Amino acid sequence: MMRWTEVKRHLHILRLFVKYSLMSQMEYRFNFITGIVAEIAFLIAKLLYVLLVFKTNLHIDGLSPDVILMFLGVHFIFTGIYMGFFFQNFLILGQTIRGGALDMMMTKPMSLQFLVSLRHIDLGMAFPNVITGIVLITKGWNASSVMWSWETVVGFVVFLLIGVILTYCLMIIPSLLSFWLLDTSAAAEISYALWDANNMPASLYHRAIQHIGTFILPFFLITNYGPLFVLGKLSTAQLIWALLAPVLFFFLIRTVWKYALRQYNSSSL
Amino acid sequence: MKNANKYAVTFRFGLQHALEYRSNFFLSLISAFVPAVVQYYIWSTVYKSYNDTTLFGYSYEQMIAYTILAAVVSKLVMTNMEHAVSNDIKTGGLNRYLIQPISYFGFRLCHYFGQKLLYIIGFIVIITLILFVSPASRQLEHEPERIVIFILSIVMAMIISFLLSFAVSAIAFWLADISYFFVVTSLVINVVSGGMFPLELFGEGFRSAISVLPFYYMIYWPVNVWTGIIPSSELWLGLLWQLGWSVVLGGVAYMSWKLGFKRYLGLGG
Amino acid sequence: MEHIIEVKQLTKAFTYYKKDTGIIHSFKNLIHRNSLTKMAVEDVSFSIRQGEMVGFLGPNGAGKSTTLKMLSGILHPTSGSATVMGYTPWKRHKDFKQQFSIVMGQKSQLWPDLPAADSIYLNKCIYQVEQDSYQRTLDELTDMLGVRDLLHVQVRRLSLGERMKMELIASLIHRPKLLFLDEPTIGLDLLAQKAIRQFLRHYNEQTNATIILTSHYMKDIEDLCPRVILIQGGRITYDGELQDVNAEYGDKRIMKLQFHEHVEREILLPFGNVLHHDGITAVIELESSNIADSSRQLLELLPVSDVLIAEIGAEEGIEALFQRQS
Repeated sequence: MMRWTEVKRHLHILRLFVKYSLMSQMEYRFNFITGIVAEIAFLIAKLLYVLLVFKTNLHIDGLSPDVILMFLGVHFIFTGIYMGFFFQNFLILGQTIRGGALDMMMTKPMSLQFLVSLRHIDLGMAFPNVITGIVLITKGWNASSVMWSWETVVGFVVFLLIGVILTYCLMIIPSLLSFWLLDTSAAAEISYALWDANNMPASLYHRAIQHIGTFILPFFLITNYGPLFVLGKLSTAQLIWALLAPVLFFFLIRTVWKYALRQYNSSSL
Repeated sequence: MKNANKYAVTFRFGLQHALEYRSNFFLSLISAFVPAVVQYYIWSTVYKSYNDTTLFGYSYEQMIAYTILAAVVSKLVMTNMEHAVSNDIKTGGLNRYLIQPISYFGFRLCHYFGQKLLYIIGFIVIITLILFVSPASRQLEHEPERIVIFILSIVMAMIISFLLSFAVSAIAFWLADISYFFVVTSLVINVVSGGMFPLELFGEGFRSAISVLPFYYMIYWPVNVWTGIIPSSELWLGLLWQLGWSVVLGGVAYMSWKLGFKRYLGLGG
Repeated sequence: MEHIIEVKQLTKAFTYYKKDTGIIHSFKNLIHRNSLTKMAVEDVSFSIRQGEMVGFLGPNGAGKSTTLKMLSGILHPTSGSATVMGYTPWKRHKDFKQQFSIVMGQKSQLWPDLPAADSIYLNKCIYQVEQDSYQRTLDELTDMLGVRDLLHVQVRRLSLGERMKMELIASLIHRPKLLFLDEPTIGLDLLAQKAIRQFLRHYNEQTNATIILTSHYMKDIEDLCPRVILIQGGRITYDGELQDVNAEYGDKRIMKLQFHEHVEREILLPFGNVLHHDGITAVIELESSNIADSSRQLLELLPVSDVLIAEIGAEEGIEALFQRQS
């Protein structure tokens, strides 16, 4: 049973991680700034899809280019969250496992998964993406003829939270493979490619892809369900799945994690 | 003879490097196609709504062929060696080549082609599979001359890309912290070479401006030799442009490395 | 006294992959890999009392670290059992983790770009140490190690020795009853090694904490650990007082010889156990009762230019033990 004091303790540590990460980054200011510049370059490259959508006047399943902006916007928000909170941690998790730094962390009286998942936080990477995302969502929302109301906004935020959990569960998979494989860079590459691809309404794709992206690797839940909810296009069944999926996938990742640790072999013989 | 042997060993070494992580190789092929899949569905949807007219001068079949081929060619052409080279410069790994009778340029070149050999094989398989068997390609005309020029243009594109990378990595002689620099350059080079979308998407003016630069001949031009966008009359001319740019870039690479070495030795290695 | 650690028939086997070099094998590896098993620790049993200082000794890859990692819950054993402070370590119970610490010479828990004080404070929060207790312990430890003014210097600017002292403070801030040290002095200069040893002895006396130590440096063990456990090839080959290692060598002497001409190894064999020989110098181990006769004969028969006779110290004793058993 998770007690409230435990949650509070973990939040306190998370605050320390944010502070320490920021302090560490300030030691390498040039790197910090060029990192943000690189992130903005990627952001601009991704914004070319906005150009594509408008230049071709792309309509997907009755959604106009303006409304498609909402999906793109949600994609950017989650890219920001992923880059800011998880990316670095997942990137070095493989190294942590192979290099044996995990050993030390395992002996701490805290959730190990928490320690390795949120140790390095990079808010600089998050900002440009999140801001771009908010701008795109606002534009899309205004163009969609859906009024701003408390219910829709709160519902949208709930879907953002669901998306965060699913982002965590899906993007940690390549790093978890480091428990068994020496080099997981290709698996990571695929996960990045899938992540970047997930910026359009799912109805663009073939049914089979839609099903895979909803039930097996539920990427579409991250970018699609929030906007669909706002547009009133989410069925009851989809709503139930949206609430069930994060619980199910988090449980799955948790199980794999525990299994991996059980047969963890440390770094050297 | 003896000298050629050394380069053969380096070539094999690059190939071995690519083979080392078996899962990685196959998976990284998959990741190259993910964006192509997204764009395939986008273009399919767009062309359906336009009732099969041409868009940006491309027929539906040409656009699909472009999307798939550009993904493969950009994977084939992009060297991704800037980090390794700058690492050699920074950590003094270059010293080895100052005393060994193998030139650093030769080492990198052979390593690059060795590493890409598997991609070339995969590339040939993919082209024969998708472009000859799939309906998307039936309407494309491939007179023998065009196929010969296509193959030549791919080889030339690899050479241009290699020389460009080699010249760009010389920047490591002067700039201290460049970890993000090359991430941005390879992203920009990929986009303006047409690795993401056909250059016409950015406007005809942009395309013709780029057409006098080497980037144009790295992805956009070879791919469009295949799709037939490049008229037969311009085939040999384009090849001449490629040749010209390789000579120029070869000169730039030579000069920048000569200057760089001077600085490198001046600093005491 | 009660045992804080009880280990019974602990065994750990590792599986790993074999890869031959060469391009053919790279292709072969695409299809199939050979897996091999290595017994890192085999059938190890011992027990340790509260407050003891015990040294694990053994050559590289003998299984010292693996044993330590099982005792601290990092690794699951393949078979066997262990009880540490009443817990099974690899169940990784929170209350268990709360009461011990592990310091590894080659692995840092400090944030390199921040002052050590920040990393220590982080541990205070992780271990939920009360503010008063935290302040008191921190003062005590920094004074004992003499690093008070270095607390606010970034870790990457500290010397290796200073860094190790900070690691120790960070690991002891929650006052663990049990401390595992894996090569704590590796790479440190002699002065720093000495300071760390002094601190550990002092800490053990003051707090009665149990300390288990592995080290390459014989001096660490000699100075700190009355009891040693020798591990070779994954098995315990000796468990007892360090002095007793020499007991069975007590009646033996080491003779170091220098020749001014080349001397064959065979000629030396009748005199005793030849520990070392390179033609110009040799080290022979012989019975102390024979020492007078042997040395006279040696001096008469051989072109000896210099001779030194010594008792067997702990270091040589253990070396001899390693040699005999391997």
